[in-house]
Amino acid sequence: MTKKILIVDDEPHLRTLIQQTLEELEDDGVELITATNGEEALAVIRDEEPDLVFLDVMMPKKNGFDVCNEVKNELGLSHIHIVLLTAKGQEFDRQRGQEVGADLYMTKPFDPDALVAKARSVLGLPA
Amino acid sequence: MAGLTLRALLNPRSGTYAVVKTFCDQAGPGLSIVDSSGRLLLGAKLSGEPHSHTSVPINCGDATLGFVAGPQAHAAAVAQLVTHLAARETEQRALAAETLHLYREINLIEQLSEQLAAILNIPAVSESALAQAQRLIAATHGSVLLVEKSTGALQIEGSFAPPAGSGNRLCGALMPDSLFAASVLERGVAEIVNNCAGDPRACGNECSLRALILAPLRAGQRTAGLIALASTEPDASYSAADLKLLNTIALQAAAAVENAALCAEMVESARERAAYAAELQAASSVQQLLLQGASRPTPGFQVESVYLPASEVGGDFFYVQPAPDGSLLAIVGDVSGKGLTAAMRVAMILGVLRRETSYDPAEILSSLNNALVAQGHLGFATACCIRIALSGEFAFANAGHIAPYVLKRELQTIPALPLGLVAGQSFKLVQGRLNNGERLVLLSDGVPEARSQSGELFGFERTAALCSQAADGIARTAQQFGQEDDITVVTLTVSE
Repeated sequence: MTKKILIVDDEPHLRTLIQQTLEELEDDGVELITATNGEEALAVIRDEEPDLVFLDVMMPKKNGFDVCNEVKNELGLSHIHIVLLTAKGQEFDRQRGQEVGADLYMTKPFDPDALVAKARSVLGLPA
Repeated sequence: MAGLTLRALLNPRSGTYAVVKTFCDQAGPGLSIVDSSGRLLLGAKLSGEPHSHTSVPINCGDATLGFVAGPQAHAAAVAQLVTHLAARETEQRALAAETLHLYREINLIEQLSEQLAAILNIPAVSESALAQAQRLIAATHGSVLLVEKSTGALQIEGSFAPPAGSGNRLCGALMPDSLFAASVLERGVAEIVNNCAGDPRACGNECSLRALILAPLRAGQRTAGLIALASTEPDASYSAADLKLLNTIALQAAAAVENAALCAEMVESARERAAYAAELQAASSVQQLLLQGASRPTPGFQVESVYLPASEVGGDFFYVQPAPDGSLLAIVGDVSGKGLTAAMRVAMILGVLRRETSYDPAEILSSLNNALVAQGHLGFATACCIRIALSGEFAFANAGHIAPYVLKRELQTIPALPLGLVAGQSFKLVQGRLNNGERLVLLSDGVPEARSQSGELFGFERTAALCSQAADGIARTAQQFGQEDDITVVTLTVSE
């Protein structure tokens, strides 16, 4: 079964950055999917059940905390690994991320190597 | 960055796909787009090759990403659109690649800062700085060279190079005697050399380097050394951006090197202090033993002695010895200096007194004076020496020391220089008599020079007033007032 990574960010250039960072995983058969806001992200998650989601926090319609909370605690999809990826770095936000069940909280500007390493680790791909 | 493919550009989930599809639908039937391997990406595979249909390439730079097949005019228009979109996508990807490169640099520099802040030894700092520099800047060789503080010479603290046997003749980017290194150290400015072999400073194996980049490790006004990266790759060339990066790493590394050096100095200093404290403790024990043996019970006399050093070891001394005729010899003194040096002088003086055969106070002081002068570097000492008979008759000589007290009065002395200043100095005796029950007090300047917290001196008046008390009472009173120096009190009473 194809492994899928969902990239959720309302900023097109950041989607491109994350996509480009992760595109080397396409050689391992990983499919990269994108969504531009929280509601779209939830729809894609329901339909596609990606293995890993890189989720922006500050987004229109539905923010990343709410999306994460819904996926982890309401949709019964807690097995989906969620990495909150945000420009916010306050401890309060980090705690909020933990409360809604995020598996990891990474800050922007993210470390591209760490992002790929995390994806490989979650998807069980060789480093 | 991987090259753009038409398949990626026309991913059905992408906005580009939606635009191109709409355009094709509007243009009419019979259009299809295939990638360079002939794989259909959009439209329907054309059956047959009607002569009215053509295949227009979609180019991106020098590469042909695929073709638009269909009626000539429409196919050309779609190909132009997709070519334009591919060019824009390529630009975006180039920008993204540049941004990701900056992201990578920011994160690596942050990691380096965190690592260096936690490292407190210089070789590890050097290795860490080189490892991070190698991740950010392409290099086959690298070195960290530090200035040895005592000699000013450069030393290799860390390096990397291709493994031996790969034709590599250098163990790092630079050797300590490199003229490139000397130049950067002297000017304190980073430098790029993109044609090493053509640079007059290149010598020996440095000529095999293609490009070299060096940055000084500056901490404040001091240049602690330098970091250098080099490449033997034929097309290697360093840029101003590389120079800025290496400079940033060098600044971080320099601060860490200084911290590590400071830490090493502190550890060494603490070790020395501990060793000195142990020596002082040993000297204190030796001094206590020496002074315990400095007072012997003498029939017919009551002798009390108290010795309170201000630190582990003191510079005061006393010695009480019965004479063959039943009289008693006593001396109290104070050597110049503090600590171990003073303790060594006291030990030497006690040794001289033990070997002394005379019981004449003036002769004894002369002997001590000669011994101290002979040693030269041992400084000087003050001392008061007294011999008292069972009858109470006494004679004393004084070498710059506090005079003895009897009945709360200071005895008159004949002025003389302290011991150890002038060779061949003689001392004159002062005679007197101690009646039954009277107490003669010899003491050191630690008593009158005791000082309270408010700065008030204990003084000679209080000292005189105390001198009817026992030795312990005198010493403790002065100590409680505020001890600043060693306190020694010896009291002599003729038994009834």
